[in-house]
Amino acid sequence: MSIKAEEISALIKQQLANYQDEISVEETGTVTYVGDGIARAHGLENALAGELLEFDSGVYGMVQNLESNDVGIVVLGDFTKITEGDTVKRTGRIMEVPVGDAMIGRVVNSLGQPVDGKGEIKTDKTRPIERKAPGVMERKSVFQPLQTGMKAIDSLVPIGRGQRELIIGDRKTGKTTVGIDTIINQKGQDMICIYVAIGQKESTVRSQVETLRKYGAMDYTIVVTAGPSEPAPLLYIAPYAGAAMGEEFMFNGKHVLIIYDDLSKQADAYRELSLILRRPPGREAYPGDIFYTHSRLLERAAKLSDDLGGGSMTAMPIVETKAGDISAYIPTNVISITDGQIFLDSDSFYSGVRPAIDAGTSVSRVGGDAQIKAMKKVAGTLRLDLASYHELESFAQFGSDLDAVTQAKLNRGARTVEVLKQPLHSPLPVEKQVLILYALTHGYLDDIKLDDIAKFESDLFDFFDASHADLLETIAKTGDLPDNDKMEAAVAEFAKTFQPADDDKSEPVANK
Amino acid sequence: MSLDKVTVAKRYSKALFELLQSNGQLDADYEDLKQLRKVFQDNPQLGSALTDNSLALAKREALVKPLLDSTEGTIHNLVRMVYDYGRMDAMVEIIDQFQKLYDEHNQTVYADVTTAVALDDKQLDAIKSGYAKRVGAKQVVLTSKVDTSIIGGVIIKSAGTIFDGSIKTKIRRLRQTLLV
Repeated sequence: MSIKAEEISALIKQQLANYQDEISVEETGTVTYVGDGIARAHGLENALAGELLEFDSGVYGMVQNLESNDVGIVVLGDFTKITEGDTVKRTGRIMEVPVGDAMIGRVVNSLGQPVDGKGEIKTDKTRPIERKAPGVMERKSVFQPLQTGMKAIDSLVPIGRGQRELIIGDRKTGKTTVGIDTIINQKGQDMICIYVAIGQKESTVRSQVETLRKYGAMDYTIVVTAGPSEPAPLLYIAPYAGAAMGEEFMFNGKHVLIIYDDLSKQADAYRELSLILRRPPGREAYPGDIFYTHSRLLERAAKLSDDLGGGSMTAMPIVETKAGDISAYIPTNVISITDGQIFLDSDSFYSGVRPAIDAGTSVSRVGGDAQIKAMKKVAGTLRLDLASYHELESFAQFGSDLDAVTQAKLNRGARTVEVLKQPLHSPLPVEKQVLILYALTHGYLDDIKLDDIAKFESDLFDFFDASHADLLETIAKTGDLPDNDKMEAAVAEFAKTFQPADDDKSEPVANK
Repeated sequence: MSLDKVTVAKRYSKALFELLQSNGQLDADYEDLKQLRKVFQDNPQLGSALTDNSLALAKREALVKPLLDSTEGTIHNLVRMVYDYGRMDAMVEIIDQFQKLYDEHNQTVYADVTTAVALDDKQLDAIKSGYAKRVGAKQVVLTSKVDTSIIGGVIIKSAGTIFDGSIKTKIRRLRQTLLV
């Protein structure tokens, strides 16, 4: 490589021309206390709440408390190098993170710095992490569907683009899996996904990233991670940083899905730093503004009006409950903020119903408007079917003779539960979901043995892919069911030829 | 929750300042207060010894007696009252806060000047008058310091603000501009 001296000096000259010789004026304070991720400083009389400060060691901090004699600062980084008596400077800026297309496919920390070892992120755009959510006139009602690829969700609790849908459940009930599967299903859906891992084990995050990469989902995903070994302030700001990254795309007319995994850990981190900052504790020792912490975050999810480009940001916060108690403080708060919740039940998870969605307590308050017509038609009675099944199920255990209507209900219910089961990381396109639910609600599954339903489903899909791809395409394109006779005929044709698994051939088909 | 020393000191000093101001004794008693602060600064344990119960009451009385004897008027009353309320450990802060109010009243500003070479009186006067004009003070009290590592220029530190015109900082900023 030849060095061209003239070019280089021309470049330097240009930069030097822009350099202005002026006296730097900085306001400073003196650190009087440091520990557990927070610091207090005297001075800094003009500091603003939320302002970024710089310590001697180069670490940044954010002003959290403005008190009569001193300022409470959360330290965003290594606080062990800060000592009493250090000076701390005002920067006049507020906390910002880098945003833009260059972030896609990367794993970053709460400050937007890469942690995946793939080098620097080349973007010159930044956004403040705290921003007021879009107002009334900047919004529009949710009307486009967000397909999660999970039959149980898309049929029972449909989600719209711009909605906030909570995923809630005990530990180990597949909450993260619902999120990850939803991201995987966004392939080719013109969506940008942001997965914010708050206080998740680094090893877990690593394996989630690998899963996403394996299914090609990292091409449109940003992972923001704040591990459990990071100081509490970084866990606290992680979701805001993720939201800022998402807003950049939303305001450019794109569609964004953001998953906060999980907000209970963020609440714990905020509780920790609030207590150390000596804010008065409230219920469950959370500070008084814990509700506002979550409401202002989730309010930033929006469907923008056409004037603003019609972009959207769908938020799927995750909250962990203890022993199924959804009336604890944080779960009730977040339930009341969001537009619905998907409740995952540990009992059904362990009995093999996965995803373990509890149809009774899961709701979606706005997603119904976003559901495609075909799905509305086939899934209309599903919730009722399931409810009456669960009601009769316990009653039927007494083993008394049942009339034919009850038998039929039980029969249909068991098949509905079976159809809504779905393996890990295998999202289904919406037209296939409609197809299998069509077969279910039109009674084609009533004579199939429970064990054969999975086979029936996959064979049905193969059959349609091979001989009736046009029908599937019609559903996908128009969003409505194709001509009823054609659909009926095609499903009936398949049902006639369906062969149950080999070892069951000798047994009767309907095993009740 | 007990109040911290600074909050306490602010209250006492404000009362003291307003009293002295209405009596017209500000300047005279300010000197006394400086002497009093020196006593506490020279004997760092004095404040806490007079506040907590590590000493017997009689001994504490004996300790505080010379302070009371050597003062008069308002300052005498101040020592008496601060002792009675068990705030002797905040005495230095009270006088510090008083000084702040006094300086504000007289529009006096204190500043630390750091230069690479020692300054003569003429240069110091120039900095004084220039700085006084900039911050709008009547009087500037400078403490000058020599630090060769700043290469050249002047750094003025005052009341939580740094005016940095040193060559070292300029070079650092130039480097940042070139690296970006």
